[in-house]
Amino acid sequence: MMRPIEKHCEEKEERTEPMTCSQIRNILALYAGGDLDNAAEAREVEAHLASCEACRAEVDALRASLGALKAAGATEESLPETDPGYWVEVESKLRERALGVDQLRLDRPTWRTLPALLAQAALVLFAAGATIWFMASHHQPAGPSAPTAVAKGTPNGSPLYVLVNAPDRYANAEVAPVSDDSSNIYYSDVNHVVRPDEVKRFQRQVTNASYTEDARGGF
Amino acid sequence: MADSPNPMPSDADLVVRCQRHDPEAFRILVERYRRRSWKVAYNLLGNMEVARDISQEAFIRVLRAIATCDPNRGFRQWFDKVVVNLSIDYLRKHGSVQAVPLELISEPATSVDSPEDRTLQDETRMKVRAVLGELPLKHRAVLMMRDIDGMECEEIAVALGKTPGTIRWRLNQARQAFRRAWERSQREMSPDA
Repeated sequence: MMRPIEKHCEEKEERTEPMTCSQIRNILALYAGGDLDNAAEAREVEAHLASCEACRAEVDALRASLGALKAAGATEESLPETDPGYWVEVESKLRERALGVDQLRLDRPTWRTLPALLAQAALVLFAAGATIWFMASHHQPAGPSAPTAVAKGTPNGSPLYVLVNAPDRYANAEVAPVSDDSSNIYYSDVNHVVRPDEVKRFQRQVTNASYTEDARGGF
Repeated sequence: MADSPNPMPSDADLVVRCQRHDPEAFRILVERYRRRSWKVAYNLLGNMEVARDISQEAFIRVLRAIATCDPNRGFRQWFDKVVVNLSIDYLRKHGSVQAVPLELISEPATSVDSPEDRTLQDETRMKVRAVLGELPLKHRAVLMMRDIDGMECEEIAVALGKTPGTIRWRLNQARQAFRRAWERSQREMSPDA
């Protein structure tokens, strides 16, 4: 909701009655700075001031404080006329932000930035696709036809160790049993933990004597 | 067509040339508005170094957005708006800036010359800045722009995105508030207080 003085400043109402002392004081700060944009109103304030000592004192006090305010300001003339370092600093700041007036496509900023955004998006999609492809192509799912662990040792005895045909950079790492619980044998070395399903396949191989000389001979 | 270079190209010409990627046009704009932007920022902030940074930042913003500038609508008003908004953003972010007297600034030849007068003027500036710091930012901003920097109410209205009526109303309130705070500070400073 617009306040009365704001309304006063916004709309120039036609008044027939002279302003009261209180109404004059409401706009005295504008009058003191020469900011009443209504000449008739300014004349009315002047007429009032001629006959009202209290309002004259008020306007004098306002002008004194305005004088102090004005004295606090700088003018263009008070600043150095030449300042070669200024332009150098502006140029330096532009370089820091990879900006230069000759490098900008200035006609349509939206269209200027769109290809760059599309290129970035394409790069991200390509990187994500390449990562997924790499992971998929280097991952061999465990299955009966692709044993991940084979025995090295005697088929009838407990294996002392296994060689893991792991689908990773630790392929053929030698592992040692960390548990001899027959139902749940785990083997591990620092690089590879043999999963229970690997061990079961290993056990099947041992039981069925499906390992070969090549396997037994080691890798 | 052998056009001789215009020794005093208009702002509109320079804006158009900037839009056509002419670095020299931008350099001329910077030189032309360097002191103005520095002064506007200083009068809002009261600190020379910060004002200098803000004025330089304003030119960078202007260069970034030069394509959106309508050369026929007045570069100065548009540029003032950038400087004012950057200064107000700075004040919002940092509360207030430590006032620094204008020691580094050479006073115009017509102004007071004696060291005593100069010291008195600097003291007044510092006091005014301190009193301004007590006021709400919206009051401070219009006082700085109108009474310190001398901008017209219509220009302030454009810069702050308000109507001229709202600016006058705010100015009226701000002057009354400043007057009360100023008189209080004068009483506190007087030996009889």
